[in-house]
Amino acid sequence: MSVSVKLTNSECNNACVYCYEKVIRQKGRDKRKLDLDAVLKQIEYDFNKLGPPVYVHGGDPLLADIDVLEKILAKGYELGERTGIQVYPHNLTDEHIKLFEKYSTHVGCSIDGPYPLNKARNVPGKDPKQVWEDCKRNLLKMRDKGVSTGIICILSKYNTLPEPRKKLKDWLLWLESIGISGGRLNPAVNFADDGNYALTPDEMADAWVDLLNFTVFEIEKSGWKPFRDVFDSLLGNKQGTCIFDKCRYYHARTEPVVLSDGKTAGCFKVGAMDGHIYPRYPDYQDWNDPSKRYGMIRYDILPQVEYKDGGCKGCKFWRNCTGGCAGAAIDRDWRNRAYYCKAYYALLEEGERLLKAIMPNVVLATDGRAEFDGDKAEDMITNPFRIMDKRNYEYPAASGSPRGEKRNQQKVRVRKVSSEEQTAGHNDGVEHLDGNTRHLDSSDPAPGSRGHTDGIEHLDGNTRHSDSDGGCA
Amino acid sequence: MRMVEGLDVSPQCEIIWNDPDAEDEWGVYMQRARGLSDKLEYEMVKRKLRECATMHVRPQNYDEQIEKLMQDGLVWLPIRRTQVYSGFSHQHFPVRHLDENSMVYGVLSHSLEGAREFRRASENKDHMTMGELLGYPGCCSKFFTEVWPEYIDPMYQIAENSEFEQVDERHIKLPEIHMFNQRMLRYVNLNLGTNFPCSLNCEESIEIGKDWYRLAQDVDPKEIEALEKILSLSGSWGVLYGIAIITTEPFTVVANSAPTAEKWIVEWDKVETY
Repeated sequence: MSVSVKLTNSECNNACVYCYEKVIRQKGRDKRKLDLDAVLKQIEYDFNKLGPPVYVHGGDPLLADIDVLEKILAKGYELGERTGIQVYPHNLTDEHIKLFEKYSTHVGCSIDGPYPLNKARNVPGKDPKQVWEDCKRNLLKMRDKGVSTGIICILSKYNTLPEPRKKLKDWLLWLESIGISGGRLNPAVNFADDGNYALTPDEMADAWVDLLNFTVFEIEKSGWKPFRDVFDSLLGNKQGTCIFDKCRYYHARTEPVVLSDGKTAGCFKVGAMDGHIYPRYPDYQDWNDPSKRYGMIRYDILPQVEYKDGGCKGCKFWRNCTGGCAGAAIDRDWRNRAYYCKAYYALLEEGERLLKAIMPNVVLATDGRAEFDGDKAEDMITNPFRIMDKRNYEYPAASGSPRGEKRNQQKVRVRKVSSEEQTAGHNDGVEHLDGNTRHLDSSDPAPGSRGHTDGIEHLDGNTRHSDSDGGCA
Repeated sequence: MRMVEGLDVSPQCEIIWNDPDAEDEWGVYMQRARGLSDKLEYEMVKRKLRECATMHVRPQNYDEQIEKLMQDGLVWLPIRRTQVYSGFSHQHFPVRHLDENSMVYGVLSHSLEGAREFRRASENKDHMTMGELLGYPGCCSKFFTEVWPEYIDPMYQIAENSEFEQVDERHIKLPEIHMFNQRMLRYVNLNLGTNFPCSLNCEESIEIGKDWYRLAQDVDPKEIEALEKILSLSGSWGVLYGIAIITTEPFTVVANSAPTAEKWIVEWDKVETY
């Protein structure tokens, strides 16, 4: 996560139909005074805790005075030697692009596709055709100047139903041709309960599975999310974008926001339907404080509630998605699972199918054989490629039976070990194998000499022993 | 009300500000208001405005607590040993042995006889007698015996027993409630009075609330002013899967509640004050 400076708070002259900051504007919570000194001070304070880059967001940050914008980017560059900004690039100027070059700014571009796919990103008083032409021109300018760019494309009925989706795919290929092979393809969520632009869960499932296959097989080194997240999650590598992770709803620091007056807030998506902006406390450390859970109770209850009632009980992908985005839940109520659960499920199922098709012997986070030292996909401790690893087999195999199991097999981490524990002996949290005998951690540098008195169960072949002072059998 | 069977929701309650500015504006009122209810419970007994109150004693400071109540001419009898919990709970968690993670639930009274009578009533689950000793109106105690413990947090049932408009199948709106009967913020100690009123318009409960209010003005006028400001807020209470979310303009409260399978909502507009 990185510091998100909402320089213009929620102020914006565009009118994207699905904007999650709409209700904030309706309630008049979008306007705050500008206290640049306070903002710069807070950026530095947060940066020291969170690291780079400093990221400018909004509303529309391009509404800010360009001198003010430069001061923010300069600060971010001074601290981290790179910066970021999220814009709707139809109204970028050459001056802006010069700043981006100067401050090594990665420019996230909010574009839903070429005309007429871009109609949901309404710009009052401007023809959507012209909006697209201006976006295209600026994308190419930034490409020519070597400015790093990415895309956030919101999937809605305007650009994702089967007919317009053909043009969307062509556009993704065009983006690849100009050097943009990744970004986000996020679902539109109807936060304000207005209009008929959001896809149904079935439509979203169909679109996402189609686009996953398209981006994987048609785009070289595709970095499109959430598809990349799906593979990492299934392999137990990373949990993925925050929509797949547990969200501390009322203190959502996955987007640590600095407002224009220097005050701090969390992600604006949560509370979007009520127009709330929940404060963020930068010094908050008590993540295990039971009196300050900020909505984490969601992850205790969802696995206990039946699917038909809005919960996640018994779902095989629970670890991978943990109920999905709390800010985009059924009935816009974080106590429920995500509204697009069906689409998440379809994506993960498709990812599973593809990985298993290529490598039937891969161990995924959804396999019964996988072991974990926590309750999320990223807590998987089983090596997914164990059977395909030459360190473990003379003849490893991606499918079928491997042969020639090796005596000194690749060690498997069996539990997390703190640095304090890593003193002498085998205290690195890694399974030890002596021939066919598997020993878990012990404080004995020479297991087999003295006993394993570390309080950990030992496995000798099929025999499980509790700790003793005697040597291993 | 359909419940989710076996749903275990741990005790909790927390206050979340809806905006950084709201915390600046209302934080001081919140701080003042939250300590008042416990103080008043004690004072109501001490000044013989009611016979009994419930009171927890903790091993860590029982000596101070016992000394204080004895100096005030009060008595305390233990009823049940329970585990300490963080937040708000609708039940106790009985334990055998006392340690730093436990406390004793008991009864405070200005007479040993009163305390004994309460303890007997508690053991017999005689809520009518307990209610009488706690100074609750008879109608409210009777209503309680009808709804509890089937509904461990009977906010919706109380609201349904009041003057309301039906918004939806499980959503009602109350055009007006009385501050003295407002219990939807009690999870975070924002309440004036401790009974579950039989309705949010109950006149007898309002009468008792007046005693609490006058006492509060005597105990700490600044605190009652702050509490009144908060209890006057309109808002909504909604429960789903054992979590109640109470939303007012400046803040939201999250607390554990009945493990309902569907969402039930009570909204209220105007709050009548004293």
